[in-house]
Amino acid sequence: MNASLARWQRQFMQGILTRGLPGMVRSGGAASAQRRFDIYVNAYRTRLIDALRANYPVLHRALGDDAFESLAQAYIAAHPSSCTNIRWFGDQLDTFAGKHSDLVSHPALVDLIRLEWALRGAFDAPDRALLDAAALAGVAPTAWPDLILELHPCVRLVALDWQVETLWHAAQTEGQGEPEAPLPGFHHTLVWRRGLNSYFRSLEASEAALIKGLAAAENFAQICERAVSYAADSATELAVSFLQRWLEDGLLAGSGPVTRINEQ
Amino acid sequence: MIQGFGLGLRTDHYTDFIERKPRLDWLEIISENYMIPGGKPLHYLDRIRADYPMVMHGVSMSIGSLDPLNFDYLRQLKALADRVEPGWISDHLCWTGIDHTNLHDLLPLPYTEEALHHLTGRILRVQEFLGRRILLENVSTYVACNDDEMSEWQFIRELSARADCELLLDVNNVYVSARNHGFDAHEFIDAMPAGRVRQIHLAGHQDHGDCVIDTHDHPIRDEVFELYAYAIERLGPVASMIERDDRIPPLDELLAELDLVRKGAEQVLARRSHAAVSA
Ligand SMILES: [Fe+2]
Repeated sequence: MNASLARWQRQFMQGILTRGLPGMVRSGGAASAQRRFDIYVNAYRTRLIDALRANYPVLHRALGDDAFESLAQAYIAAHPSSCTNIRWFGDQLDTFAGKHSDLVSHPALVDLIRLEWALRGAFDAPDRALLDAAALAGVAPTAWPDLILELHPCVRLVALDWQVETLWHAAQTEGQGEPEAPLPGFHHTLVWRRGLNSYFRSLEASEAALIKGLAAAENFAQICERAVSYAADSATELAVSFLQRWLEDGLLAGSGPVTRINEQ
Repeated sequence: MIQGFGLGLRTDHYTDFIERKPRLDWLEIISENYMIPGGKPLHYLDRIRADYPMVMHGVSMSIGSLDPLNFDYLRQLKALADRVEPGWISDHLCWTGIDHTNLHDLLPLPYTEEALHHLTGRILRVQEFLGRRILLENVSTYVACNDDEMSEWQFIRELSARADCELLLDVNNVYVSARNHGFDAHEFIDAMPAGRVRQIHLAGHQDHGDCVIDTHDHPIRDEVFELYAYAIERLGPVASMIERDDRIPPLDELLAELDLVRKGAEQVLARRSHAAVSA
């Protein structure tokens, strides 16, 4: 009877994945083994579809029940879960939907998937203290060029080809009929959480470029250099005005720059 | 020490617990729901924990799998336990996947000497890592394995002795499996080692005649209530709770149902101590 456990688990898994009936399975009751095993076959798909619906509620709404389920079933067949916690199931749905345009009614929905995944990630990203504007006020003028501001770990910058934010807003207002198809338009959207609430806003190219600098841990001098392309004569002023906005929005994490300056 | 009657904490009821603080002995959380970096779930967890004792119940340990133990998962579980300080940590007597594919379901084990041996070593290692004994729960099953060498209750009894672990007895699951496999649920309960059963789950199921499915979307059925009374009579007072995972009703409905559970248990225990006095 050696290695029976391994055969059982591999047969059982193959049976679930391929909708087959493992040879080692017996019913033990009145219903047939196939009918009994189908409970596992169906529960597996139902649970994963539910997980995708929880991670992509606006996509679900935009596609409708049937189209969402077709997409979900195809994704589940192509990408069996390897995550321990079902919370992270669906992390490759954007790439998958991008390759299977027959499964999404509009190409903009691939962007919607990316926006929703970013929002879902911001929702339970790590908690960190915010950078206080008062702490920055104490930074000596000579220290500013070397200052490295740290993005809060909840912040996500998403590059989008379509203006899918309209779909998201349409889903928030209880829907009358079909939402209008999003317009094309490349831009970046910033996603973050402040306290318990998640936010997003679309960015001008200049702000997106500067935030990329923050994400790459560039110092303030480098951030200002990035601003030159957008405001040759007033690059520093532009960077400072964005910095004020980032502080107001709660995009910067607390402990980083000031302690780093103090250590020098 | 956690005793008395509890409920599973569900997001639908967060504000009820925070604003109304209904009387309840303890809450059970699904560990994985809080094994995340931060944000709202952990915020509410901390606030509710301030008012209620908790136990942790996991669905991803996959203790019966042939894959190596997932120490990354166990480290996160331990970190959550440091935060929650639970009365105990439980998971299921099952496997959830193999070859690094996770089926996210509580899948049945063959009841064989080989499986006993495999599980014993893994439970001992998990308990050593966590620095505490764990509770393992009997799951609902719909099929059995041709290689079975013993009954489920013999398997559980033997495993808990060898691995020195504790048990979470899901009375609804006993009922569901008994109906599906045609065994006597009372025989199962009779075989449970009383000193090891620390917690009881109660839940609703769907009865399709030739097949019973564990759905947790209905109130507890009478047959399960009766079996619960039988279990309490045999095992004495065991911390008991209702699991509701789907079609979740207002909290007051669950509290009323839990009152019935409490009254039922108290009646049985009063009868039991009366019988003991007059004997
Ligand atoms: Fe249970």
